Amino acid sequence: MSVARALVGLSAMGVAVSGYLTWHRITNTQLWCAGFGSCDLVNASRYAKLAGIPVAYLGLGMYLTLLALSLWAAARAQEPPLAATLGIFVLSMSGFLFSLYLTGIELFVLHAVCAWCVASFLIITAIFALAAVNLAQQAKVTARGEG
Amino acid sequence: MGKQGRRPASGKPGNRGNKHLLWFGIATGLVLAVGMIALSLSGPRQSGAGSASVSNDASGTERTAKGDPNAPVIITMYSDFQCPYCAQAAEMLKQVEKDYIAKGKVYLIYRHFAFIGKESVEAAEAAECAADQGKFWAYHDKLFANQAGENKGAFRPERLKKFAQDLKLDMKAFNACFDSHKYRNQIEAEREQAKGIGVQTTPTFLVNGQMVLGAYPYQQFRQIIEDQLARAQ
Repeated sequence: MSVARALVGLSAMGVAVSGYLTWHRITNTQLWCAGFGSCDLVNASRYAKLAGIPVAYLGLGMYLTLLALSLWAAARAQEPPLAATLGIFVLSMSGFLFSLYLTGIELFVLHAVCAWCVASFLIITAIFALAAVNLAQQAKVTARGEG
Repeated sequence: MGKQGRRPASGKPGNRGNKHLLWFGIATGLVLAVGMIALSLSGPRQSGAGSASVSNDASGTERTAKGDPNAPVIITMYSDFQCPYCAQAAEMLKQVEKDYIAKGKVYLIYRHFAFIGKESVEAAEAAECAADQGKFWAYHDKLFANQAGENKGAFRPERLKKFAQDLKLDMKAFNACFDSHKYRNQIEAEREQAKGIGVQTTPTFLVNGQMVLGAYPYQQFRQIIEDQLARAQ
């Protein structure tokens, strides 16, 4: 599977996870916690909002943007637009770092782990790793093409 | 980003441009992440008096809850069975039960914040053992009705077992549960988790995410519920 397609798949998984958390927030229904963790507690903590906006909404927005960008890049697999590669890199890097921070909060402040947050952290980590490789490669190829 | 993004497609940028682009990406990602983390850390802390806004609390069917889990207002009460203000609040909540819980407008969740001492923890353990037999609320009422000072023996094990007997619980099961400290870890963990979301004292309520500290008189508490009901509609 090409990296571009993997990015599309991973972003779609991110949309599913953050979409579920968003739906839970909107309908205020019980979170299915996959048999482990304390999803409700984590989602009730003050860290579950950023400037008044639930982190789940921000996550959904980020994954939807990542999905759009990776679809764009996959559609032009021969010569992926640099705006898409760069956009995916910047978004996934900030998403990864923020997720890393939230995971630290779960482990060391709340002492509670949310399975959905862990899933999202793994997804964004994979996206960031692929995006970094992609951007580095694309920069190299462009440079070689000109050299 | 758009400008820089278009450049390579037209095959113009040089080595330096690409390196710059990489650094631009890393710097932008870092700035965004640091900004979000700073914003998150500077968010509202639930300390001090009065009420502060936090996110929605958990819903769902719980052993120590009453009402309709799908009610528009969810109240989580963090409480210690030895705390006199919690007993006052529990009394006030009986009115809430009549006016809101029974009508499906409020779902009430009880959470242990057993912090006053050994007897607080043991009383909470006993209440959880009663919950095993579907008698959490009856035991809860019994405990608050029998408060007598803090850590002075009101909730010593023999008394806790006597309460269970009075409520006609299956004593074999209750004793096995209580003596093995089946719920000790859970109660300790519940307290630590509550601290994590900013609970420092009892009683503390989360009313659809709005943190309310202390035992309010019914009229005032009712207003908080009404505000949340209006918002939920």
